[in-house]
Amino acid sequence: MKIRQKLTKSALLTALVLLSLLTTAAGGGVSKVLRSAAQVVLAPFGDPVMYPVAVLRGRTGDRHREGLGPKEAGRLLDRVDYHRRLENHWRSQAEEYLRRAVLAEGFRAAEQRSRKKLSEDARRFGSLFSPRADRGFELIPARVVAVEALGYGESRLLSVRRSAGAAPGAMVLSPPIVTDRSKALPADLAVALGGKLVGRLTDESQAFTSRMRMLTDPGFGVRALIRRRFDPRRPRRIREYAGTERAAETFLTEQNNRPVPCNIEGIGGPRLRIRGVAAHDNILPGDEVYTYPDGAFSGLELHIGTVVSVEPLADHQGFVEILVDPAAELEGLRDVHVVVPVTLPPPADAGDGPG
Amino acid sequence: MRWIGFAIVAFVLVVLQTTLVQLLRVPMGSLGNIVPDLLAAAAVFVCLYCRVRVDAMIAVWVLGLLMDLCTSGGAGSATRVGPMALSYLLAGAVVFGLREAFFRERLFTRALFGAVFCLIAHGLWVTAQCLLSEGSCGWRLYGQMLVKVILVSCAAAVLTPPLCGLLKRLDRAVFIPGPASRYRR
Repeated sequence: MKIRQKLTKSALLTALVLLSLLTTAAGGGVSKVLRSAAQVVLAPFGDPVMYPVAVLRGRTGDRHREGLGPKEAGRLLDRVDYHRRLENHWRSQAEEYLRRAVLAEGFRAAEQRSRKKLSEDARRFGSLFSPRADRGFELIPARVVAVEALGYGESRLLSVRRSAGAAPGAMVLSPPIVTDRSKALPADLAVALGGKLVGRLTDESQAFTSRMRMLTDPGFGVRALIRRRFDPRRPRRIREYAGTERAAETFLTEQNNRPVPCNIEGIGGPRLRIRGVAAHDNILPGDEVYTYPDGAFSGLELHIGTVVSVEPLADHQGFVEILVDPAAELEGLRDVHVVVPVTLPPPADAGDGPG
Repeated sequence: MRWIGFAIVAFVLVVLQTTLVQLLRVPMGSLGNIVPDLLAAAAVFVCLYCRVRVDAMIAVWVLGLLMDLCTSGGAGSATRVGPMALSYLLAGAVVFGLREAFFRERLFTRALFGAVFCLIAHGLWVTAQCLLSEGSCGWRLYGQMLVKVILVSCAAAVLTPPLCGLLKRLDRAVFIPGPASRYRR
């Protein structure tokens, strides 16, 4: 009896070893299915435990920032309201100015120039305070219910339904001002103030849970834009290329300050890395990095972080390696938003309106 | 081995590993974070106190599989399920084979086995995942992960003695039946 039991267990162990070899050889597809099944079991138990972990981790984090209280949130709302009123005032002033300028000068060219400039200004102001629907994106609230078991990778398990639109590749934001107080503030405020990128959903997502790869994970990579900070007190030299003409050295101005496209990647540490940016673009610490608004995320720029160091690449002369500090607070991450592009209805014809 | 009790303990440990253990996470600058391996400490306990080798190996394989299911990143791309179970099994076999040469009740022995177990299991896992990553894991990342393995092993050396002490209190009721006096102290 004992021998038979031993034999059975030995056979079971052999079968388990073979099973491990099989799943290893089968590749990523089988692993994803197995992990997705495990996530469903783990998520309900991890959710309540993650709450104290997020609170404690957030308090002990290196870069802890205090969450907003109701008073601060109220002040922020007042400020947004003030800027809206200011925008309306500027708009009316601009229109008045345009009318007078056109009447006084009577030059059609001047009118066109003014109109173009004013419409550009109006577009800038409008983009700052436009409502959420205009963006064509929806924010799905999600919650971190478990983290990566070991420190070799940086991913988080989110409790977010796939039916809500949380597809692989979707961007994940940390809510910029709402920290466990989502009911105290209107939902659109977060959109109006912009979000900070935390990571992207991987393809290990299913009906009730999704896995998010943090932006510091070695496997994370995304197209990005570096926006150089223009400071008239500290001019910086750049080299400008105009078509096929030779490059001309000039100073960075508001007019030629075009964003620099690049690829940003996680390297496993607390910072992100950008390689292959030309040295003549003269990126400096303090410049801001945003996501590249293309593809499904056209029109959406999410704040990734701030440049902290720029070093020349030893193996590629004329290019630099840039390290970026993430803008989002990654310690104690609990409530996040998944950005899902929505298809906007075609713009209504002005003539169809009731007026 | 009481398998139902073991399954409950293993599940609780997995939940703790993916949630509460993050409080013990140590940031190491450019290396990233070092997270102690709770399941490795439990595997060392099983290898030290389980009477039957096959039972111990099955239990260690299960713990490795659970760790595999909760670890998806690391070697530049999503990792595969399977290598951690196998490397746990191998590390468990080494600890099981060495246990008679040491006094297992001593803190030093438990700490040493914790470090050795992690060094073997995680070292093999990192190597296997890098080989399977289809070129997305370079030498630099591999070296970085090996340094992490050494640091995780140090963390395991610290964590294993108290966890073994805790599990020892549960062993007769939940975990491993039989009089403990039969074993060498």
